[in-house]
Amino acid sequence: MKKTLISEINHYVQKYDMKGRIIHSVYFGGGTPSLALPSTFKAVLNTIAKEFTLPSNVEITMESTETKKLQEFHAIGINRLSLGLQSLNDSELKRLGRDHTSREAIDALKESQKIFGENVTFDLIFGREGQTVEDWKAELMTALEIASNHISLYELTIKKGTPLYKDFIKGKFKKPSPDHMANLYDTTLEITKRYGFQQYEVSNFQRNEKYSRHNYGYWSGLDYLGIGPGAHGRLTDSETGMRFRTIRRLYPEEWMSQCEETGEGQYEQMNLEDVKKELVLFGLRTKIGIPRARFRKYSSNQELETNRPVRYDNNEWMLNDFREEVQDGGLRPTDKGLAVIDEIVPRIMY
Amino acid sequence: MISRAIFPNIKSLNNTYIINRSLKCITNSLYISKRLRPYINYDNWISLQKKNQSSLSNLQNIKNIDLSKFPAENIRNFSIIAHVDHGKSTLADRLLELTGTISSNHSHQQVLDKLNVERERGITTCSMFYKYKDKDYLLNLIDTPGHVDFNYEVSRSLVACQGTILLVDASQGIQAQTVANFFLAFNEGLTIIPVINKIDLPAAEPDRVINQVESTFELDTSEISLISAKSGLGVDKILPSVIEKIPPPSGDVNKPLKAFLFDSWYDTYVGVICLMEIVDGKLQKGDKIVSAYSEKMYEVIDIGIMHPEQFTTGYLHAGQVGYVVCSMKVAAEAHVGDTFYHIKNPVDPLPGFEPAKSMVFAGVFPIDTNEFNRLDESITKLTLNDASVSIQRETSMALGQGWRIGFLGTLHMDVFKQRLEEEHDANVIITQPTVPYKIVYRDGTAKLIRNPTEFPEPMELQNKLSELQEPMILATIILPEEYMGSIIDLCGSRRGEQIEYNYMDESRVIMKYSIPLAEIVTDFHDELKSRSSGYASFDYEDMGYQISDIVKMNVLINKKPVDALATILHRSQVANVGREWAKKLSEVIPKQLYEVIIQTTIGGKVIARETIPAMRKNVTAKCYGGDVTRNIELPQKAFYDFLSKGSGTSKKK
Repeated sequence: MKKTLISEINHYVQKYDMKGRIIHSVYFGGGTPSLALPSTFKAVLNTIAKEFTLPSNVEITMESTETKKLQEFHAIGINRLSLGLQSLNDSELKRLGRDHTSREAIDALKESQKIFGENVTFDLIFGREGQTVEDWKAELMTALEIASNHISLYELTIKKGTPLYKDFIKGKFKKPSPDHMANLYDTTLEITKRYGFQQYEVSNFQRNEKYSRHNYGYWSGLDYLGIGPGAHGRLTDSETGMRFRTIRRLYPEEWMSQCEETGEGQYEQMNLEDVKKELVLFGLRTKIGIPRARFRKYSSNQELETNRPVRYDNNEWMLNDFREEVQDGGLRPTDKGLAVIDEIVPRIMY
Repeated sequence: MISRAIFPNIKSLNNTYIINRSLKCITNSLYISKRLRPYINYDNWISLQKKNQSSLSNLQNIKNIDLSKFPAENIRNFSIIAHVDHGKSTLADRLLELTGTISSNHSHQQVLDKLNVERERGITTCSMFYKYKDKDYLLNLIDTPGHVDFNYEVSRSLVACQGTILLVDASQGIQAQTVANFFLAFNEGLTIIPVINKIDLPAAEPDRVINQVESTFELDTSEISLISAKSGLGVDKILPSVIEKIPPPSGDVNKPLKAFLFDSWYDTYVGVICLMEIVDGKLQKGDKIVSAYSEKMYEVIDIGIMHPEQFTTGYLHAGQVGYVVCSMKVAAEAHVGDTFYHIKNPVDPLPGFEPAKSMVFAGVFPIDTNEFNRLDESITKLTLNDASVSIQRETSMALGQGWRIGFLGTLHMDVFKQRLEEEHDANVIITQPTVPYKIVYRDGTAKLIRNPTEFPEPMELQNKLSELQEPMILATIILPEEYMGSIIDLCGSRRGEQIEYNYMDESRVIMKYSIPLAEIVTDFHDELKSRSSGYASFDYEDMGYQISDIVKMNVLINKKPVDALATILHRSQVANVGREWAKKLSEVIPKQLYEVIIQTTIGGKVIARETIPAMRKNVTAKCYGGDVTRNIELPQKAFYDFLSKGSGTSKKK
């Protein structure tokens, strides 16, 4: 595993001539990377440090659901922790199949904060069956009382193939009504604001400028290398300006053999339309929106259409309530717009 | 219920020979070639070939028979009329077996049972040879379509006959279609032979049914036949009574040709095949004939009898009935009821001809607007073999480009839609059907409107109009007494006026109502069935136009009228329908980014208003790289949903 990860990094560096390129963030994700040995992380980080340039303020995040070996991870250079808590409600934790209690979750958070200081983030999920606005308010306030400067708050999403999806189909799980979900979402915005947090992306909140630099780069269309099974990446060819999408085999065995044979995974050139769509799709999910300069950079100097009328019922219907032009050039969603951005994006893209 | 063709068991797998008149619009050899072929298994082919051989030997026998040896007095043209499922097809089968026209070996039926599509069609006219008292007779059995939509076609088929067998189920008794068909036959002056069928059923009450026949139709029942077509019991008495009681055709072979077209179908290879009765004279291959209606000239390419499939004889004589292939390209040229004569030798056409008249009009729109051109071709193809459909292009602001199509009735419309979907993979929406309303101007001129968009504007109404009229029908409803209350309520709620009611026997009632056609085109029949636990039967005939206080109701979405949702109503219904439509639309239109206001209005006056609040939230919590493409549902989608599910039932009280 360790060997393959390292050879993959080396391969990319050679193929795309990236030696010495500045790296702003490193993210060990995928749920439970903390199950791996700290020595693996160390070796990977050393390779990155050797091949690229790491500024002193580089953000190196690891996802974890437990607090074991945190000290060790911190010692080898990981400086930010993302704790997968999901809930601070005991019965819900049980339903989610987690074997800890909310008390233990809070303890774990506090323990992590002792090691990583301000640089701890965690996530909660709202919109569970039977959750009232008051329930969620209380749970969120408990969380924000002890939170550092970053938190992710997701609406429960039923994804195909998950046990929850099966329950939903069988009628065992009932989705809250759209109106109730909207109430929970409004509550989320209200309470986070009360605690000084700013919503900078649909489900992500920060205060004191403690953005997740890694995610922000990803949403802004910066290049990133995806290393490991199932990892996505986006790379721009510095000469042609073309973007590539890289994708790794999902299963570790296949991934390893793929890496051994070809040195890297599949990659495909993205067509311009997809590049633009992705910029709009991700950009408009963030409060900063899509700066014109960024759009030009990735779209062979095309201009972002910020005032495209949308036809509805044979009237030209403008989207001004939902998105606004930014002074220095660009487009961003209004508060009202962000709440319904899934409706807005297709009307802008097509 | 759709009536089945009369001879469901005589079918050929050869495309050219397949006919159906009762579902003319389903019948189509294209349909078969596409759907049937894959289901044929080789074993079945063998047994069919065997069957064909046996009927071939039969054909060879008659090859030697000179049709000219069958003068009119040795010919009987007759039909069987019955309510649906009273056993018409089974009886026809028995008669064909009895005359050796088809084999009585049922293996072919089992083969065909496997082919569901094939079972939808049968042969509509069949000639049989029968020896009776040492004389050879040519008996032509002519089928009639069963559904009310095709009343005119039934009456034309009956014109080609001199007599008919009125078949009544011994347990169900007389039903509405029995009555309607009886009167059609009676009005044509046909000899009517009543026959009670299914007398071997445990629930059979032949005495009660005989009483009904006597009291309702005033027919002589002293020699009535009691049969079971299924088991063959009593069937042998039928043909002798046909010969004894039904007069031969009165035509004269020496007079100029007068040929009567009573049915047609479309064949991919030879074009339109017409079924004709030679009233007078003689028609043969190579003759040039002219349609009295269109004055178009045709040349006879092939001519013969149906026995049971097309069998070329080269000619047909007065009194004989058979098929004629005469280079007609589209079914629309074959006008049921039309008369043909030899070129340069015109004759007076037979009376009673009416060109096909559409009674129900609906907008048809592709759900995917890109499909327009492809569907235009499909619709053109379908009309090739359905003369009774009328078509115009239509453009709707809400639904885009489409067609306004006229049908004989709602069954006809449903069948057309089904064919479009099944044979042509079409995904269409059909708007609320409209009947043709008549606008009479002060200067005496009149105009038919087939589309709510043609309804006069308020100014025009005020300044130029004399009156508005709507088409009426005379409904015959037969039902057990205990359902009278709820059926009278139903008819009342549909603006029906009772004309008469009579007891057919101690428990069954026959009611006649005059009802606006518009009231029965949606769900009247379903409602009638459900309110009477399926026991009431219904048939109707055209009753002309009547002055009516009709208005156009508009549906406005955010103050803009949606043309596809406009509808013509009687003023008394406006309040209810207006409220219900607004409510229903507010349930099917998904929330939008802005508030949506739905209003139903008449001439600017708001009847009802509903508001759909703006959508508050629609955002995916987590977004991954793969999610680049997302589709949006535009509001049109909701109109489709409303039109396909909602509006039909919303007229109910």
